[in-house]
Amino acid sequence: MTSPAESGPTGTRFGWTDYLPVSQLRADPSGVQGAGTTFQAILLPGMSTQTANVRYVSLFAAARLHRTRAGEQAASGVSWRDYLRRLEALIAVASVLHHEQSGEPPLGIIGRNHAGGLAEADIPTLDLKLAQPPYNIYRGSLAALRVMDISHSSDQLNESAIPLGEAWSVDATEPLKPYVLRGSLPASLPRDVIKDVAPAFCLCGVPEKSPEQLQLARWLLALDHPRPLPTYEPDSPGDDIAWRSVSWRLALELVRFLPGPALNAEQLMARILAPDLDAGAAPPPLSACLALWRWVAARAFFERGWTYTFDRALRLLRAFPEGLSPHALRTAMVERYVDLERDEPLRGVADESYVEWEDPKWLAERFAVSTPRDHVSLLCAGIHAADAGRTRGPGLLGDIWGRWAIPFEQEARRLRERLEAGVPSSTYWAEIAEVSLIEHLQSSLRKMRMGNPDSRLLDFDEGRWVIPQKSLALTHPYPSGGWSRLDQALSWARQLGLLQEDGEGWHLTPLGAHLCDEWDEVHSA
Amino acid sequence: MTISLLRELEQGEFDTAVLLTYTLGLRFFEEMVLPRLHHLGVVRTAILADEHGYRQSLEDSVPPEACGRFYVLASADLPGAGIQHAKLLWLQGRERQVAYVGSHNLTAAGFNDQFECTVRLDSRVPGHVAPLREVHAAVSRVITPALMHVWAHTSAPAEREEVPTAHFLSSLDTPLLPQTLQHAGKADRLRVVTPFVDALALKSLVDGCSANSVVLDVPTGGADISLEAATSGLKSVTARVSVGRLKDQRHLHAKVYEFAGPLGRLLAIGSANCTQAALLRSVPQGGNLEFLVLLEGQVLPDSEGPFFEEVADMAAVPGTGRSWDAGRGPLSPLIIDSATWRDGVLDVSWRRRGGAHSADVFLIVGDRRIPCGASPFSLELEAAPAVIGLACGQDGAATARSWVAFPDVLEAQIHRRRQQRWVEHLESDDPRSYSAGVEALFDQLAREVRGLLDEEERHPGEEGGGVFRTPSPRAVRDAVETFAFSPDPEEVRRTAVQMLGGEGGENPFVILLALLARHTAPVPAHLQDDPSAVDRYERRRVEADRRTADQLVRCLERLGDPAVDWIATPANRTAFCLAFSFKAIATLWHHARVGRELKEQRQRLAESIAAVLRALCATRIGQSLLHQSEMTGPVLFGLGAAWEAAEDDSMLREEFRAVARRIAGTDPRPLLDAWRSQHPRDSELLGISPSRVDQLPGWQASVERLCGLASSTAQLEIQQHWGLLLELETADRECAPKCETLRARAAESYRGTDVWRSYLSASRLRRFPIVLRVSSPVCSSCRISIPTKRAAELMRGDAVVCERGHILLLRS
Repeated sequence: MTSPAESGPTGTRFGWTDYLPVSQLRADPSGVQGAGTTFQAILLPGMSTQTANVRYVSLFAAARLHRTRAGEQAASGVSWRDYLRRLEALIAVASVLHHEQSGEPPLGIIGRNHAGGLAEADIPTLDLKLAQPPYNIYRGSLAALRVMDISHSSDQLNESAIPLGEAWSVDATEPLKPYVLRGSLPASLPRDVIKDVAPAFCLCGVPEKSPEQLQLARWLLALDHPRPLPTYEPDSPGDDIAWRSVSWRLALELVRFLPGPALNAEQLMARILAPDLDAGAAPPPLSACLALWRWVAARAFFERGWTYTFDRALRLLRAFPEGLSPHALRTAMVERYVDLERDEPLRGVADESYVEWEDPKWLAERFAVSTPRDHVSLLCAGIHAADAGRTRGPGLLGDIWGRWAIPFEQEARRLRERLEAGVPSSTYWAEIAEVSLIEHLQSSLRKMRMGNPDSRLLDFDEGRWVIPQKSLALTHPYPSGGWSRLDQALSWARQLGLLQEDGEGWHLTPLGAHLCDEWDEVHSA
Repeated sequence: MTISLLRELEQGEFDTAVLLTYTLGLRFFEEMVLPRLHHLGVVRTAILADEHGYRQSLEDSVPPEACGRFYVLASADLPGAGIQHAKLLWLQGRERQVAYVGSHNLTAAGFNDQFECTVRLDSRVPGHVAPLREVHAAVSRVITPALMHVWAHTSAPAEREEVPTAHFLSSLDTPLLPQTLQHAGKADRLRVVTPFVDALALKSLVDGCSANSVVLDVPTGGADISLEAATSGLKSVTARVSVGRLKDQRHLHAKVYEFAGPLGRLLAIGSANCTQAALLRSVPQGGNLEFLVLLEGQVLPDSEGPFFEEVADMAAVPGTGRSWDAGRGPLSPLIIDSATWRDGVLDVSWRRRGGAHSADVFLIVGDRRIPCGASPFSLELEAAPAVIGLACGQDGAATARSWVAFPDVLEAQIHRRRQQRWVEHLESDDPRSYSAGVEALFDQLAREVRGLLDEEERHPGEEGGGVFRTPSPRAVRDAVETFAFSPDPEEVRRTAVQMLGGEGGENPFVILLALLARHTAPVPAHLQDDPSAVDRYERRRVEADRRTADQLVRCLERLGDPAVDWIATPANRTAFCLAFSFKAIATLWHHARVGRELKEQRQRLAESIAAVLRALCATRIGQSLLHQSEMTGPVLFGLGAAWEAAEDDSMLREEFRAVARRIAGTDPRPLLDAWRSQHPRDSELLGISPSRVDQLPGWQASVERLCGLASSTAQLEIQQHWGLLLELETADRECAPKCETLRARAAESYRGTDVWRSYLSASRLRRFPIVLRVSSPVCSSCRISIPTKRAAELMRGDAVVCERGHILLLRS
């Protein structure tokens, strides 16, 4: 039984209602990670968890430079978009072929699987057939690194980045050099040719002692265009290049600061909170920056506790199709806590966190284990660590204490009030659980308001927390991890040959040490 | 076609919205509905909810932030024990009314998450005028005093003779069932879609229309009572449960009645469940207030709704046990008609329900209890409470609670909405919001010229009507850089608020610059880790660029319409609007992203500009405006862009050149120099770009080409001073015998100059071409912009050397 519901002779529109698209990926469902993400983007602009390979930066810069210089000659060949797609495929296939013997191509090749298939053909077609091509992924980074000016129709290379584009060795691309200089590539290339030029395009690293290596490293450290160092005071101007420069210098300094096994993710975050890594011991320009990164670390542990608590609340709610009133939700959460472990006064957990948050081992253990008590411990530890940094660090930390969603200021107040009220740990956990649901709903609605798909996992309707029928089939979100842009910077630094890892941990290479000295000299005045 | 209520609120132009609902999700409303209403231009919003929904909103775990400040909310007060169960969205425009009547409460579930049914009535459809008039009359009878100041801004459409194509029914006076049956007559077949059902109501319906076969469609988990109980006493009943639709597993909440009989088909859509309170009793009889819309000859489009699965064993489908009015407590003995806070005084109007007992009444504000003997009651309060309560007796619990409304804020926000709207456009991380902002700017511009703006809509910052202060270029430049590069949404928001609140911050051109900076900003930091979000963002950005370009052209087409009465608009307003239009033309044409889209429709753009110019030149006031000194820069730069856009149309080019020559003679440079010195702020503003490169030298090149300068004065200059160098380059390239002679002559002429040093260096390496011919002050090889001073030299026909050593000469 069907009939047209649209217009028709009567001009009446009627019928079933539709809904907004539902988000498939739920980044930061509880809304707690926004603060850390934003602050890291300010501290270290020009990278994300998706931009794993630094060589894309110099390859895209060089491609844009030669394409521009080729002028009309290039435009008469393939379009800039098609050229990029072919170049991306060439990079991916070359990266696979460069490591054909070991069978272990480098990580971070976008389109790796398809490139593996192409690499087996005699004449691979330069097309990765990706919905999300590498240039699109790196484009934001190229702009934030101020390499590209994306305010132009075809994304121009910034004037100051021309040396970076020139530094990539076009001579190493023979016999493809004429193509590269013309800003063009054929639709397919013989496998042998790609193999010959593979070192020029492979993402495994930037060639040692090459101008490309030097220029890229100098670019990230802003050594050729030094800016006045940030004061990290609330009213100081936010110069993204200067902020990037200091964070990069700090990343290299951390290699000196942190002898022993190479660390990453939550291990690194826990380590930079340790008292022996005293911000005061760092060279003066870096100590303030380190204090800001300690805030990021504090936030990482706080986020872990928060997202785990949110996860538990969501799982509980799924067991009640008719939903739960706020009171029933809290009661059920308290019961869940008591089912899993012995309840105790919040004071006990908070005091332990206050004493232990500077111990990397204790923090890492709390991070890895996921009992409700650990969640509470991580929340308290994050708040204590951020509070300690606020009193000792630069003025900006005082400013951001109360900023962004789920600010430390608000949560520190909540913790203080609950401690004064002498509530059990389970009650605090249950309260955070409900608050995390509220924050999830608010942050999802904000995202929807901005035009993003519907990422709500639950709703509050008619006085009850409820999982809407349409959300029951959605995948459960993950708790937050400990990965930061500092890890990404260290990874890029390794790819750039600024540091290396051996059995004893990270070490600065001579080039890394030299650039650190040069940076210090430039900024010593 | 299905109807997405949220998407419906993305188009149109209205100024008042009134919603009726049973339950409420105010935070959802504030985040998802209210911004859309604001985007449509709505400045007054009122919500009438049932008392149950109203009370729940006071206890909401996700509380609202703007209740009483951006919109007003009141609970219905119906005679008898009736419940306000009708669901309505009424949108009032200047001369238009649109209403959605259906089953959708004002909650996330109702507006988005559930299978609901709705009917859209539009006063532009002649057959909808009568039902819309009935809807308006019905709401007028139930609207409470607290909402009357909003409802007063609505009106029923003017009466027309056309035969109605829909019928509106309400239970205000008569139960819905007899009214519906009057239209349906006898029906062989009846279909009922409802989440709540009772046996008596269903049997009355079936008996009333003498249906031989009945289909009862209920949600997945069944209705509130068991299917066996619901259908007891009925024959030939087929019960079905909703099984969703493929991946679309929404809950069924629609209320639909479908009749098929010898007289034809009838579809009834609305708020009425198949219950006694909804169908068998009117409001005076203690029934609910319900709305239904009847559509003759229509059936429910099942191809778009949930699938239904027939229930083989009705006994196997028990009821959910959840009543449709679950959680509804007894009515409060006290009613708060209004609670307002203004200038430090809280005013509360209250009454006792139906002569309830006369215990002392106490006002509860926070922890305080204040005896309030009579209504209205006033209390001086320094801090405004969000909620107040009334209690019977000193120690009694609050029996009535109310949101506090802030009339001052509500009135002020009508004006502040304008600024807030720009902040929302700028802070958004949806590029389509930027183009929507540009669209709003252009729409306002066109309406200003046509004199269509109400006094209420005019900008508070206007000086003498339609003229804005010019802000500090430095402040604008800093703001534009923040909009283009800051990854911090809070900084973007703060900057937007500061800019808009500062001197001249509401200048439309400044807002345009800000929106365009957001157009080119990198993907927001929080999306960068999600490739699909990045992809979506980029697609939206392209869509936004296209829409922005299209909006400019459409705006110009509206301005170029011969029907525009230029004389009726105050001259200073017209001058301001025209200056803005020409600035917008130049800025958007030279804007890389939007300019690319404009170049796609260059002919349409050129023609629309030509139409505006013709319209202006046809009036004395228009001609006079074009010659005003403050207009010189914008008009000439706009004409320069127009000239470039008309590259395929020599006739149009000649037309533009003629206008330019009438304004500036054969050489526009002295006039532009004079404009710059007389209007330095305007000139600096016009040249602002996120990259801090002054745009104007490049734009001036277009103007000079428009005026034919490059082919005369500059070319002469080039020929006289640099002809020798060009000749030498040709000879050098061909290794011609005369190159040594030419080199000696050139050395004598150019010795000691940067140009000669660069030439010698390049020719030694045989890097040809050495002299690059460019059409703008940007090196065609290394893409370096030439500094302003040297750019001016280049435009005059001088050879200049770029920072990387290339020699540039203006192209002929």
